Amino acid sequence: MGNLRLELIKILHLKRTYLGWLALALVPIVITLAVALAPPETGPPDPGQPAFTYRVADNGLLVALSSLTLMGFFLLPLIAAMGGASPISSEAELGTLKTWLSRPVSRGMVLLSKWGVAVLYAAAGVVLVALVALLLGAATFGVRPLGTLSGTTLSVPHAVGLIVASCVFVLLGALCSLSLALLISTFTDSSLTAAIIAVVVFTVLTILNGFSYFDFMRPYTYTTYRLAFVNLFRDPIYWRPIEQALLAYGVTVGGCLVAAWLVFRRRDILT
Amino acid sequence: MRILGHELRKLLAQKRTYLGWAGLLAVPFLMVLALYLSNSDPHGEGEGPPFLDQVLNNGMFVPLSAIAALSFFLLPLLASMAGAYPIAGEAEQGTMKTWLSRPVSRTTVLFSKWGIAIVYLIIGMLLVWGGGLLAGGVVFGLKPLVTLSGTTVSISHGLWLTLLTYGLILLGMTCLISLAALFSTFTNSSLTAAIVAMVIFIVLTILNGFSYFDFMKPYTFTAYSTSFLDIFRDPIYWPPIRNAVLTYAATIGGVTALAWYVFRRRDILT
Repeated sequence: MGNLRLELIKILHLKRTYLGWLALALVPIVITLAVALAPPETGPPDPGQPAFTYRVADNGLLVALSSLTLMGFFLLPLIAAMGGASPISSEAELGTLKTWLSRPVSRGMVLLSKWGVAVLYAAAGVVLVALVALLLGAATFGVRPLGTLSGTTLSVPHAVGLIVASCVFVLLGALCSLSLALLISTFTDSSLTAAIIAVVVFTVLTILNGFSYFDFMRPYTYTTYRLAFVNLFRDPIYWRPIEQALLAYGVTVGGCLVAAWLVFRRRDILT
Repeated sequence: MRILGHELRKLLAQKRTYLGWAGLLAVPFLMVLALYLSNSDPHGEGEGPPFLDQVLNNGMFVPLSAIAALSFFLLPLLASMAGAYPIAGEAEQGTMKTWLSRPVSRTTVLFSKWGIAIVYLIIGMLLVWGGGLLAGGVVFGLKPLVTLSGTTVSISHGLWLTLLTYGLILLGMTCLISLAALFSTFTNSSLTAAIVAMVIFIVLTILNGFSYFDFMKPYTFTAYSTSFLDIFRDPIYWPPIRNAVLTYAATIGGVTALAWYVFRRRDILT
């Protein structure tokens, strides 16, 4: 725990921490502004608009769901990769990793606390988005019982509970990019390289998921399940894709962490 | 020019350079492989990058489809990386001071670093172009191109049109390079500079998706990502392309001038 607190102090002193949170918080703000200021839409929804947004004006709760959908495409994986890559390789860049490891701490603990602080960072980002979205949405559009995809209606507390569950689900998906970035940052001394590779892997997997020939790998890639939280809003909840997603996320995160530990445990720390 | 040569040597000594190029080169081959093996249209109608449905009939469309798919996310990402690293990377390694103690002006240093990022991207895009033509030509064959207006143009003319498309996309990506270079003059972390440039790209793209923000569309460089489609009309429909080039040029010019202004008088501490 002591290590985790030290890591937390370090990231709270970095400008980029706040930049990442600011970028995430912009998503619900932009959605609310765009929907509130635009004239009320009539007729069928514009196909160019992101999913969930065309009914936002009817119910403030949908701001949170559209924010989760929208940021899951690029922004959250990007910020999560940054959060995962930065703790180890930015210490290597600054030449402070050696000092850190000369203290009586095991490398396993250092790695785990750096992963933990990255997870806290991403979690804080998602919580921030959810709070901003719920508050702005409620203030601007009001809160009404939410219609499910199956046609039934959910009470407001129940809907908020499901939104919280969706946030947790989206966060777990982001942890895959985060853990991958952490793994790569144990190989390289450049935080930029680690973050970029994690995002490139995410993008390439997303592109491959678009081709039917690569359907065989869909169940195993963490990118497939980005929108699976939508199934929480069926009545009754359709658990199967969510269970599959959690399994894929768990295996990806666990595998990356174990590999990162194996590499970091015996790595030459030159800086 | 000699300074650009130094930067080129630095660039070529980094693993990351080749990773980026390899990633770009892999895309056209993966696309051709996926289409060839499944021998059917990709998921759904109208999904996926433009021209993808025509690739099966004509390999000429592979480079177009590949660059269109890349320009959504992967190419901007590599452009931000390329733009951010030359300046902030030296600050990270603590070699910027050494570099500036030589008899070179800061302006020359800044522009050679900006230039090398563009060179990096040009090489990457040429790899996509060549790889796409090679894979597409071998698997689907190169045939005269059918334009969006229904006319047919010869192969050599079609190649020129694809190169024109690549040039337009390169200009768009140079906006991101300039942005990343600008932020790398503020911060000592290449990661921060690259991420901030990417975040601006993503937020602008999201803004472009909402009709309320249509008024700012003509001024944002992200609004023109599909303007290259007008190159494939016969005759070419120039007005949107001209607008795109003007916006790109204004963005690049403004951002680079600002970067120069910041870098010229910055305290170099490392």
